[in-house]
Amino acid sequence: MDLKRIKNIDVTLLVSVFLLLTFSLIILSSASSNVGREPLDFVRKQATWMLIGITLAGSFLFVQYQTMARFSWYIYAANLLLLMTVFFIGINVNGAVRWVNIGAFQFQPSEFSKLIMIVTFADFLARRQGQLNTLKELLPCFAYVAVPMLLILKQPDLGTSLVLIAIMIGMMYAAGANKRILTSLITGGLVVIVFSLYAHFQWGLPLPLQEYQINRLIIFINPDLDPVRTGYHIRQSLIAIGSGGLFGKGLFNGTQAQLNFLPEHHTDFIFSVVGEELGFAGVFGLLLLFFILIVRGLRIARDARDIYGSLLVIGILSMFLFHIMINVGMTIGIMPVTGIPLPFVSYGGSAMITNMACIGILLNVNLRRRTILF
Amino acid sequence: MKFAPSPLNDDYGHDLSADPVVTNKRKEFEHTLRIFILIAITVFSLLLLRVFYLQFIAGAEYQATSEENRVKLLPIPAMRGDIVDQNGVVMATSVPVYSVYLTHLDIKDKNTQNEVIEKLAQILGANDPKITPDYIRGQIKTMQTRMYEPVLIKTKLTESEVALIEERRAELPGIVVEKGPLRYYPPYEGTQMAGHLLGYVREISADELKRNNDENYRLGEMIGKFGLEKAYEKYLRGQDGYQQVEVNYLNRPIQQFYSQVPEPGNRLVMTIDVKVQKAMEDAMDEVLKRVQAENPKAQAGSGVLINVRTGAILAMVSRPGLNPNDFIGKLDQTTADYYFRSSPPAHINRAIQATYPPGSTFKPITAMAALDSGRLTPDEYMTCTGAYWEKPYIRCWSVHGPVNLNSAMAGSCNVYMQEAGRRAGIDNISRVARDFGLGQETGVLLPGEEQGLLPGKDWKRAWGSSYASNRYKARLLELQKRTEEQLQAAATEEEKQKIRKKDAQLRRVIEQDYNNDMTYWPYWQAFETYNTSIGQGRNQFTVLQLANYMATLANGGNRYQPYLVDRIESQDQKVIQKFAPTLINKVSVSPETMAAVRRSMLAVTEPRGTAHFLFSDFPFKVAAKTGTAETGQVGDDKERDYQGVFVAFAPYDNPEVAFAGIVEYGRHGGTSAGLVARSVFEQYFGLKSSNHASIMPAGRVEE
Repeated sequence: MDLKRIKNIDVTLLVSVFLLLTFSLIILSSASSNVGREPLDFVRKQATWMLIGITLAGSFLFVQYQTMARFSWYIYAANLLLLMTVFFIGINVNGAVRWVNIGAFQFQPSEFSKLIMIVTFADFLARRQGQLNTLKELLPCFAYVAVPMLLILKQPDLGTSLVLIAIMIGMMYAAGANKRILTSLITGGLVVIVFSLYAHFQWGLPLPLQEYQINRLIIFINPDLDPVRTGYHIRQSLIAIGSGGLFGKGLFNGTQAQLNFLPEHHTDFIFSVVGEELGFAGVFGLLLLFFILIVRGLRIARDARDIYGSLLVIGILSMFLFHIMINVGMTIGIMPVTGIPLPFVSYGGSAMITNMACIGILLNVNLRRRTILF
Repeated sequence: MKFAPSPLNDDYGHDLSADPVVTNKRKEFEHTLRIFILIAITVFSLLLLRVFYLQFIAGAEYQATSEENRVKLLPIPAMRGDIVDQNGVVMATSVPVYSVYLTHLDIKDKNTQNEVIEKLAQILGANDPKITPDYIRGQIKTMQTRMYEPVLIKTKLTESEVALIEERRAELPGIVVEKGPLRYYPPYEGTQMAGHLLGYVREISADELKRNNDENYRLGEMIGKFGLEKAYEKYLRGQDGYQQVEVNYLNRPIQQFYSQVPEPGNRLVMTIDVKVQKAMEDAMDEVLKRVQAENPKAQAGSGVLINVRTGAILAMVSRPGLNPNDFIGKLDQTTADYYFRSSPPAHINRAIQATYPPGSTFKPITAMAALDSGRLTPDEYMTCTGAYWEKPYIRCWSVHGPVNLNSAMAGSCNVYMQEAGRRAGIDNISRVARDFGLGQETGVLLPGEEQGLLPGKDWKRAWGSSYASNRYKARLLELQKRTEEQLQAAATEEEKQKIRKKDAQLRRVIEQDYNNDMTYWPYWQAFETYNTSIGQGRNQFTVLQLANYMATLANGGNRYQPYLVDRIESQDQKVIQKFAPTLINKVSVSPETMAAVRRSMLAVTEPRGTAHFLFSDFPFKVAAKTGTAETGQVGDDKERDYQGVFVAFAPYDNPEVAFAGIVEYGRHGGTSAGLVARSVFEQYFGLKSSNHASIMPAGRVEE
């Protein structure tokens, strides 16, 4: 790598990522204190994932990001193979096979597949610059994403499938795809989803989803529909955040999390712990860090040397934004419960490594930006 | 599969800055990026706004819910206040009993819990085969949603059970033995005392829980249901303490933080004198036993002793007896039948909840009414020939010959009293009776007091009109029914015509009868005055009313409100409330009249008086009146089935106490209730010799 490029690095982005990681370790120390065998069990593991992620991201910097494009189709094929492994050697957790064992560790292929999707789809789109105007030209793009998405949906992992759609839309939009077609497709899709859900409950229209998934999709509208499971999660989460106030109950003092009223409080519902223990101040700080990450990321996309780089960044940012919106929205009762973790903060190795790899790619594009002449 | 050649140089794709051809494209891209920023701003603002709403606008509610989630209150029951007699002898108290509970606080896992359950069942099952491991598991299960509360396994542990559990403390984690209060009514020298008066406590009913919503009663809490326990519930109850426990989402207790010590209830100091009460209880039992030998129907009775100067009740007894201890816990079938379904039911406090015709004990009222009207003097003689000379010639029980007030009262002459009543008129009789509180609630603070009935012209008007109109309606209805039946049976129109004509005729007859009835029934009849004068007829009074009437006569005309509680004290014996005598009214009868009537009542205990045998050996004089009242019960033998009524006050010269008593089917007042009075006076005035052989004094004279 050309060491001169180091001066290009976006320090603001870097700092906000490190602050996010620090934030994660702090809130996790409290949120997981009553989960693991030892109080710091999960913090230690999370820190390990972070180190692995940072190493991975750092080593990414030495390779030109464009190199990845050469292997797009190999990577795409590997992704499909990886996703299929869960059906053979996967571990069934709560009725879904998302995990694969590797030695002492388990990992979630669907987590990595999101990044792989971005990396390969960026290449796919870059090659079709200016040829994304008609529906006929768009269809191959949809098909390209649909194959891994259906595999993920089969696990079943509705959340990650939705993330893939969000990534696809974001990237196609940035790649200059016909906006009218895209917008009408999104709108049409939403209408179809809403209508079929309505039809399901009104007239018993069969849907290719498990009943619990359907419930989770709509339960946020009225948590009292299912007061013992999903509705209970949402209620407890609302109580946790709502009782936080301006500065929260203090780290380790959030009764909703510490007394286990709030399930999954170290993973999917960690944002509720932030709201409860650190209050509005903590929520504001966390969202601000995310916002900085997104805005600086968009700068990198703008300044990217080539469209491939821009699309990589846009894909990553779409993923982050979608994750944040769905995860936080779920904890505050305005989004369906889909099991999507909060980037950098929720406990989870696969997600952490993937997210850090994303940051590595962001910085890679950042370092190799086009020369600014003015 | 198609593999595109991927260039390795930096010119891969469209290098936007290097390609001036695509500047337009670039502008479009930057526009897209701006939309991305807008979307991000919108998403973050929405999330932040929603969090702001949750934390600041709806925050208070969520904070409350979060507290509710984790903090549960465990009540610590307060000790109910004692009820003691005027000298501090305890008549109702709360005794600690040991109960064993299982708490989830110290049982960490299922295996330990199972072990503990097995061991506990072994210890407790030895005495109580009902307690098996499955029984204990059942108890735990019923409490599953309230795991922060200890599960009651068994109450009223024996001392050896407590000792066994304490010995094996180390093997029984999570098992606690706790002392809790249980209401107890101790007998006094072997006699269960004043049950009806004290009342009892029982678990609060769902209905009462709703009614006493403001008082914060708990499910399963004890509440006064009868007698003083009910009337003074708010003083006796005390205030429960609380223990705050932090629980987790399974309602398992995590830690205790705070507790509020319960505030014990107040102590009720009664006006009752336990020694006098016991004398009355024992005498009543003995008399009932004696009377039963002659008439097995004699099962019930009641007596009241009252302080004439204050209205304080010194003793109050009702039979069949009530043992408040029976009402603690589950009432078994025989006990429930005894109290509520037997004949006579034992639950009634016959001093205030039953009314009786006063019989001859009403005669002092008649005499006062006559004397006060000026139409009779104490010295005037009348001649009793065995029946009154006015229709319907109501008989006297003897032929008294010439009698004046004293001898008429002493001999309980019906002829004299009917004439006295005639001269006074019913209005005067009613007025005097009302002045003395007859036929009205006395206002004693006990639940369920009956009013009784004092008949007079007003009452007769109301009663007579409704009687006549009811009769009229019933007859009309019957006629209508019969006519309809006949009409249906009738074959020809001619026949029907005839039936209708007959109907109209009969209707006119009924109409006329009704008019006649209305000129008769609503009006007070002369014979009713005669009946009333001798305490028969419609009069119905409670024993407490009779006692208070005696007290009022004895103290010279001040009618006090009878009361049972002298003062309420806090647990540390500080007086919270002191009850002073309450004067209800002064009677309108002149002091001279009252003195004359009191004198005539003294004659009752003098030689030739109907109660001479009762008090002849007393060192002071007693004024009294015996009574024998018709029971009014269908199927009773007119020869012997009479209620024995007795009223008295003593000492005659300087009255202190007044008595009224009744023995159902006691026949003669003197030989039934009179004996109770004698025993009570003996005790009250300290005359009772220690080895008192018989309740019956020597030289008995028939009424």
